[in-house]
Amino acid sequence: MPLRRYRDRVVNLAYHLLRSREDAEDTAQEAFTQAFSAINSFRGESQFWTWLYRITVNLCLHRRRRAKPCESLDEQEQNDAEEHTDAGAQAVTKLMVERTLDQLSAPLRVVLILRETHDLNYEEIAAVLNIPVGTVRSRLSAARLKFRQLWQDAENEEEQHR
Amino acid sequence: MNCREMKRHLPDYAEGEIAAARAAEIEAHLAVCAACRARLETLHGERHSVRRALQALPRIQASPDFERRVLEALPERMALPQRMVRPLSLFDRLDAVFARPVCKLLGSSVFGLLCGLLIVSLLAPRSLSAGDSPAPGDTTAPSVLAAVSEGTDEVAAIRQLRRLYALGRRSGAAEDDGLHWLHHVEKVGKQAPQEKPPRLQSLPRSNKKEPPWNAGILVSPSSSSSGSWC
Ligand SMILES: [Zn+2]
Repeated sequence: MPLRRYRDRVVNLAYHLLRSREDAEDTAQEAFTQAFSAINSFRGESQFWTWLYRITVNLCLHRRRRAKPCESLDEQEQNDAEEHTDAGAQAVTKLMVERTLDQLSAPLRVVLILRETHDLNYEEIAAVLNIPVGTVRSRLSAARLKFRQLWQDAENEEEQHR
Repeated sequence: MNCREMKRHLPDYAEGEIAAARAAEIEAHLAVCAACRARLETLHGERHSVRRALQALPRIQASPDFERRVLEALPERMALPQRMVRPLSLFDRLDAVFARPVCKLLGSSVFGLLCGLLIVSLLAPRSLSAGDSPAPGDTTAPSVLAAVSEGTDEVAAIRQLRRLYALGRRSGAAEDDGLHWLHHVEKVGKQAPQEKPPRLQSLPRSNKKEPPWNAGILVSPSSSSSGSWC
């Protein structure tokens, strides 16, 4: 059950929220450990995986907040340089998506990632984040709007550079 | 349904997040209203452009030793306040019996036997099943928790974890040792048996903090401003 079935999903959720493979792996392990350690406080009101996802999201947000701005900027710039030379257009798209996501507030970013890269429905997102379904709906629509605006801005900027 | 109501419900419809009965009403209106059809098309377009972008994010796989690392970190953390342990009537009664001095010695050997039986019952079905061989590259040693983690019935597995946990609490370990014995069992499963299980450090009280999902990180949007991050 939990460990095998959710291993890759949890690692990817952490990866999409944190970007670093290493941090994602660490955080996912921590999430499983916390979930299993506290198995007695899991009351079965929600599904096990939504509880596991919640722990993962919270750990990721915590971790990101702790990260030192300069360090992660440098690291990001290094990655960017590599990706520009190595993988071409696909890497540029990925980079643009990441940059755009970075400019969203945490609640909007999390909702968007759960919905569009992890295919959770409203109710599942509400259970993971412990918020009402109505809030999921409004955050998701705000997140999409903002994402498209930022994306458009980035594209315009790119045009100007050419 | 009129156009005003449609405007309210179309976003959910575009998301596939609407009850079947209402969806039928919406479709009936869409069949006769070009304006609402156009609006739906716009919504679909907006949604898919964002979705396409996000699907460009790469996916990774957990490293081969992921499970081993989780299981290794686990026993040391299994110490929770007593009140969080749901009482199991059978073990409660055994506990009461073993608490008497005369029964203490007997108790520990009975406990050992119980553990043994439990492990055998968990591991035996796996060794009989030919199709259940470990995946290539899987370095996870056989262990109680690994056995638990491979079943398909989630509820049963969670129940089993709770049982293991409750057993550990009753193994005579100090309050803070939690699944001390489980650590030993894990070790035995991985390497040559040790004479004595390693004594875990007592966890400081501060480790028994509230679980993080109660911290409300996500509940309040103001607590997670984007400006504080890069
Ligand atoms: Zn209409």
